[in-house]
Amino acid sequence: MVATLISIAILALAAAGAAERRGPWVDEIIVIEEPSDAAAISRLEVKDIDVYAYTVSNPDIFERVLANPDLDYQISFGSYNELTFNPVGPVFPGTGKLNPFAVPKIREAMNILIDRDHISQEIYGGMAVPKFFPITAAFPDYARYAEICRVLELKYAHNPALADEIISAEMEKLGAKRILGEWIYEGEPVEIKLLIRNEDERKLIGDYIGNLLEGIGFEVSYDYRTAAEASPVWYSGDPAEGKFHIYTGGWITTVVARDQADNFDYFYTPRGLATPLWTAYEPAPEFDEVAEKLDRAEFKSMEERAELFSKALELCMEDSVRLWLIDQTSFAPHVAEVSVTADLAGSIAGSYLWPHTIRRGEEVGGTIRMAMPSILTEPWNPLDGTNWIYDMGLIRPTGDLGYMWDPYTGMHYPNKIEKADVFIQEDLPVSVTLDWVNVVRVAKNQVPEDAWIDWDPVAQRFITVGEKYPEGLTALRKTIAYYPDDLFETTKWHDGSPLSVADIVLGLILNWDRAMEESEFFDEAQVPSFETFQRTFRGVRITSLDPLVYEYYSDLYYLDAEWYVPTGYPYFAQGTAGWHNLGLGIKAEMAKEVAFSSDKASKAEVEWLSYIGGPSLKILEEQLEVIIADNWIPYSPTLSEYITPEEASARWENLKNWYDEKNHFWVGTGPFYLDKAYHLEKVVHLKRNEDYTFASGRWDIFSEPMIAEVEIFGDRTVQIGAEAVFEIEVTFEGEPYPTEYLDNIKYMIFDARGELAYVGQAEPIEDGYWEAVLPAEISAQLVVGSNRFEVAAVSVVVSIPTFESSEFVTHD
Amino acid sequence: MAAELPSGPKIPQRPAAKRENPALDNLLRFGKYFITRVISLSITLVIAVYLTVLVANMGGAVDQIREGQIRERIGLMALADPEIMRMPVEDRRAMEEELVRLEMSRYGLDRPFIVRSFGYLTRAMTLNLGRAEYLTSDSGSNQVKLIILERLPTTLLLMMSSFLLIFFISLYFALYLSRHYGSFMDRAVIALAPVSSGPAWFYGIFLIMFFAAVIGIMPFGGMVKAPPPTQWFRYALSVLHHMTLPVIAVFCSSLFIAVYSRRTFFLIYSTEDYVEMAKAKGLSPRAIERRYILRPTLPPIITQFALALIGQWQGAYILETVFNWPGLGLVMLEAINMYDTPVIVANSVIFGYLLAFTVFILDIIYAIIDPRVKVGSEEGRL
Repeated sequence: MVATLISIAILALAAAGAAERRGPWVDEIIVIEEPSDAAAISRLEVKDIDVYAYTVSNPDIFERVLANPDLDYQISFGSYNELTFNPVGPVFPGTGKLNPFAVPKIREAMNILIDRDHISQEIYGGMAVPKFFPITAAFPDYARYAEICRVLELKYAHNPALADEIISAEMEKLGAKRILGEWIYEGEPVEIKLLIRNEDERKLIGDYIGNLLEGIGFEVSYDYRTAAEASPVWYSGDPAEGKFHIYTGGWITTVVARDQADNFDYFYTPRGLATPLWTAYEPAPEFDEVAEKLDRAEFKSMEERAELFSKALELCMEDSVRLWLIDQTSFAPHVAEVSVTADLAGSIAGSYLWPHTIRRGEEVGGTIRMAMPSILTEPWNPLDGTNWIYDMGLIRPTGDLGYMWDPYTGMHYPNKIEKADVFIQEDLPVSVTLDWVNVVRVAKNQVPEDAWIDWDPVAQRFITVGEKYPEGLTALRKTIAYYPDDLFETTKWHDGSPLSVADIVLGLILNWDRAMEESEFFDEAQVPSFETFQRTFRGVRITSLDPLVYEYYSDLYYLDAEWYVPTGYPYFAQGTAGWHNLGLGIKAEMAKEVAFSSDKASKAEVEWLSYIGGPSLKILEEQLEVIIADNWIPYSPTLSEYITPEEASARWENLKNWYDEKNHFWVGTGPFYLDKAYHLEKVVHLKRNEDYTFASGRWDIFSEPMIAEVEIFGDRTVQIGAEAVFEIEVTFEGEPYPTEYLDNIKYMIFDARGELAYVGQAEPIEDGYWEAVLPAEISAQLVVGSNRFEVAAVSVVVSIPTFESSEFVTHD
Repeated sequence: MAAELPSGPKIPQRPAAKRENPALDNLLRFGKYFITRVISLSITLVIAVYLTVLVANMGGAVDQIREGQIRERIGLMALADPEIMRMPVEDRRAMEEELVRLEMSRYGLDRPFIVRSFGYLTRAMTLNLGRAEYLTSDSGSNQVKLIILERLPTTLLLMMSSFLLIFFISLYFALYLSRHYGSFMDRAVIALAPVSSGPAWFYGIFLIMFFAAVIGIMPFGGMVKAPPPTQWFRYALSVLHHMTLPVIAVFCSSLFIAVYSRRTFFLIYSTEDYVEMAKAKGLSPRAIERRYILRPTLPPIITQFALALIGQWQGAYILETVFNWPGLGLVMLEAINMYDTPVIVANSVIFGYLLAFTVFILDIIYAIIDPRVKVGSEEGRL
């Protein structure tokens, strides 16, 4: 239903804009470098720039933005901090000193010793929210299990007296004595070594934790280090040496993760990483088993997953080799008249949609001036070029994807493709939300004999399943991506060349060729990722050339059927490219003059290939002359089936003209093209692709996240044993929140003792108005006193749940 | 006065010998002296560069840091890839280890540091600057020479312009003040000299606040407007516009102290006995200034000029940061933070060569311009 609405909205918006304009709303974007967030705000205030595409987390700057009606911002999450405990002991073999944090109960008690509200409010100035679990509060898993999380959060609320009591009891069991308020073990004070990162707020967190530990009788040493200096101690060093007890860790995720179940296995078990610290983890057998099952998706339904998840959340708190502190809130400021999409995790630079939605008011055309903290950091090439978030933020507007990422839920929507069929093995826990995917549950997926499964790098031709697996092959998942009929008429490369099937086939070839030693294009650095790919890949075929139909077989699957439907559309790891400009780079690498990957470039002592500047351009220019003279076609034995000599000639000519005009080889199919990159001046000039496939406004529905606002009305006094009704108002920007955009509204009743008494589902009455009924039999179980009614509203269009609570009194 | 004198060449003291061919004798003495000088400077340079290699790598401890960073990066990469996370643990381990091995080999970390350290030294001394380990130049090349050369013009433009302006203005202004000792202007400069205790970036912040944020007539930073003009003269005008505030900032931090110290320097020289004698002889003030004040002060001024000149090419990190000026200072700071040894060593060795060359040239210049210096001559004495 929701999917239908969103799909209709996307199509309607596209139709509305179609008559007037294609591509983005603005004509050009000028991007400059501004490393200082304070300076950027000053520039925004005087309208020297329109958008600062950076995740600012400075509370003082946030205050400036809030106080200025001419400025607005986009919120994002994705950074989170924790305490990493050294679990070795209770006595370090390396030093003979006591390590209290080898005891799970002491680690668990640390959860209630610290005050996460203090950290988020005082240290982060409100730019953070308390975090208890290895899942992000703004991502779907937290919303799925909100009631479980809330109960545990209350259980582990700040209670320093209880923490002291538990820690004292455990310390005494270890043989330590508290003399004059100080813990003594074998005649010496118990020293806690805090390894503290000094580049950001974690320095203050470290000081705060140190003060707390000193307050309960420990002697604390403070070791302040940068990331690089701390790494050999906590990450690659042997924890048995006892060089640290606690490390102030930090993590980041740049995409909205729809499935964070593997985090338990990664963060708490020795399977997480092959480092001495992780090897020292000894989770309880039950936790170990639950974490592994979640990691390997060993469950058959979402209900079974919920049970495992619930257990994991509880057990991870008991284990607490990691103590989660806060989810950091960041914001990307911009002038109020400009609207732009920001990803909930990756902000503006991490969003695929920002170039499509950026606009000044209702203006059509015009220029937007954007600043980023760093641009043109490393060479741009589509296979292994720069991976810096800001460079990628500028590369994305020049390319297009088969599907598009929903910046607020992480869900996928069709972009270049029209629809997809997913055939999934029936015993796998895969669900579907959106109606562009048709899910078919099957006993098994037989891979057809003519599907491509391998590549012969010498003969330069595909090997079919029939050749490699005469006995046959099956796959857990089969996907069929359907492209529109007019794909090849409506999609053109920026240099004017029409898209062709060869662009897609070359992408397939590269899956194998770069990782095969016999290939001229072999790159040793590709082998490990290739082996990962091989592990789950079961075949691919193109069943129709026009309209294009792309069929893919794999043993890899996700909880959402919509997630990662392979489309073959030529958007590579670091950008977009057609067979011609990609082929040019391949030719230059084969000539041993450049290399796509920095690894190969370093070892071969050649240039790391850049399509947009530096010595690479001259090399590419020379190679292009050779190619034009020979009318060369890359991987000719295969690609010649899809490229005629005339087409090849036209493409090379187009590319040469493009280079002559723009002085770079960066050619995509996206809504913007790279007009010019000024390397020394650190300026990137993007211009609107007037031939872009889609009409302006196609993705405007994602202009801003519809984070629900909730208010609770209704009974404040409830008679024990009587039914009570609570009214819940849900709005967005003052308007009723459409019922179909809400997945559910859960409510929880916490009794006068603070214990969870009931969990129920509110019922929709009309748009923006829901009702929760507390049944008489539940109210009969409550005791006299003050109770709390807590609501979690879970939306389907944005993954952040909204919490609200209200007190009510029960009486006889 | 002794403190102001340059540390000129040592004067060999040899017993007097019978001079059969004084010209040849002088040439031999010159040759011997300069060969000794070249050798000593070369040895100093080798030691300095090797020390740079050791310091930049913390005597090899950086290898551990880099290995830790590589492992951490690969661990994070695994976390972000569901395909890797779902692999059996043993296979995942093997893959991670293979990736670590590749990265270690790429950075040469599979060879002992001591072996690599001599490689760094050899390449540096032969000015084979090679390729950076992490950094790339603005245009995307990993060649160290391009990393430096692409930033050199902008650095020189800003730093040299500021330096040359301050140097010559302060020189003439100091001379003027030394002639008008005790005047209002003289007292004003003395009063303003403490202003120079503030660094250029400090003034830069205020200048940006006032001229860019409040008045809006100057840019916030950068070296040219965006997008850069296509016509060269418009481009040049835009660069001039952008470098105005940083140059003023350097002026504020350096001009008054430079004038004050040089004016004091000239005043000291102008009270020498031979200056008094010249005055008594009735020479004109111009002649006294040119022959009796400026000439003996020339060696220390030239030394100061030459050494400061070669120092300019390294840029000024904080000033560049404040004005977002694409200079070498920022690159070097980045290289230090990333432990990019080839770039750090290249910077040191270029500066080392420039310094050694300058010192060597200064030795020659002293001999030419200062009549009191005679290399190797038994009568040479100050």
